Amino acid sequence: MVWKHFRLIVFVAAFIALAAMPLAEWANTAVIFNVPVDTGFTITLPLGAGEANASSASDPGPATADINFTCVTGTCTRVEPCLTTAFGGSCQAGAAVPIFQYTNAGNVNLSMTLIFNSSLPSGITVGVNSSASGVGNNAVTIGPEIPLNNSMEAMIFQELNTTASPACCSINVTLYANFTSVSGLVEQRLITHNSTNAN
Amino acid sequence: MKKKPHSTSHHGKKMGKEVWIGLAVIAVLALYFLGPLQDAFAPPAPVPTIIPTAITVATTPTPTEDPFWTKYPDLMVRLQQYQEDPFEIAKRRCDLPPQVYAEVPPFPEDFYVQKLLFHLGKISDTNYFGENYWKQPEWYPMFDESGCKLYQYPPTDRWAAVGYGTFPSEVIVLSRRNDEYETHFFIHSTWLVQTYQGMAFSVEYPPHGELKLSEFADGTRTVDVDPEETKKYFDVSVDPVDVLLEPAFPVFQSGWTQKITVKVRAKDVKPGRYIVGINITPPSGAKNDEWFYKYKLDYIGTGGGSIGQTWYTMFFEVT
Repeated sequence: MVWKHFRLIVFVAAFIALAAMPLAEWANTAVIFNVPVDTGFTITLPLGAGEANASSASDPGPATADINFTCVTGTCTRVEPCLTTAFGGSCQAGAAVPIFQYTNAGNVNLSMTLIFNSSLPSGITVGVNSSASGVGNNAVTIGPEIPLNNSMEAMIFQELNTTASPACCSINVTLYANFTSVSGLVEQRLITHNSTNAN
Repeated sequence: MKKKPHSTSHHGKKMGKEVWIGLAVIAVLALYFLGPLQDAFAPPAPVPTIIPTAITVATTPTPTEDPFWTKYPDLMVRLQQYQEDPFEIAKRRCDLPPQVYAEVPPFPEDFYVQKLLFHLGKISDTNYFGENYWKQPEWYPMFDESGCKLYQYPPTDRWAAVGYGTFPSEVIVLSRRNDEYETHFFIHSTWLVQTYQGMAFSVEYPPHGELKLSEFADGTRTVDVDPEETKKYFDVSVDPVDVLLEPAFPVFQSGWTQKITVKVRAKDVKPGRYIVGINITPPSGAKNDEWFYKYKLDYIGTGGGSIGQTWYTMFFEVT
């Protein structure tokens, strides 16, 4: 019986062996599935008249992304930050002109924290506040103002929607500094914007 | 013994039956084995494989001339659209002045087909797509939906100083215990960003990760793992380490988005699930100085620590 079907058996066995070869090769290779998640954010700063194309002495000149708090008397409360420019640039003006405005540029919800890279100079404290803007913006923002320092990440918003339309959604962040008997120093600190996708 | 009607052909008839049985088995096996493998082993097909081939429309007469317009108006509308723009693939959907795109490669005619194949995971090999695809802003989620409008009507009272994104941000890798491979992601400036942003990448071994828009075959999304174990089992490197993202506004500059390669070597990994992430950190001091002196006020050294998920997260399933 076996001999009778010998050729068929050999044929089928050879075929199975050949068919299994590419299978073995497939199993030997990592399979990679990209998931189309785009995680991204944008931070905008105030733009004063003329900053886009400064051309006269009255213009503030080219802007940097640096911001500064200035107190000339040494003791000031609720100082608002301004862009660092050649001739004095745009400043925060309460919630109407926030210093930072965040939008979600990806397709998953975002959360964001801020932290300074090192401790603030003696006599200076900084507070941060945030509010949601845009129709359908369900992001969680800061209620009462919270301190911004180098010891704890300040959660400025959570679950910021993806921006399905330009009208929705953004987060306005305002900063305030208090100076108490501070004199004769120009100090620089970095703020780190930490984001996490939060879907 | 019953006489066999055609003794001379008996042997041949018998063999014929064997052959037919053999062919039937081969056909079944071929369907079973080769069907699912065709996609995996076929070289990337020259793109428009899904384009219908039965093109029967040479010209479409106007509604007044053609009786078909009365009989089958819906079909005729579709035929007319087809003739005007066969697969809606040859042009950008975002209507912007050409200067905006002047520094990115020409828009491929099959762009939206390729984009869909990538986004659906039908083609996972990022190397298959050239710069002419992934340097287009339309390659990234949300440009056509919302980014386009931001370019058409940019804010007049604010400017985008910082912003970057990773795409894809997560990947599932089915890996053997000993294996070597590459994965890729794109790091891009986000919409309206006008600065040159310097950054670098670091390899992280998070203890916890969660898939955002996908899941493992068993439906689970989260992985909790001992980072020390992961570190022991996987060698991971990123190339390039330092990256300068060029502005994306008002012109998408050539380097507004860049492809990053992640090389992975799995070393006798215990079967299970693991996570390795890539985070964005400030660039090296030398690179930061180089870029700052070159671009001055237009330059920002960005990146920082991370909480939660890393910017690019690889979820490994090792069997």
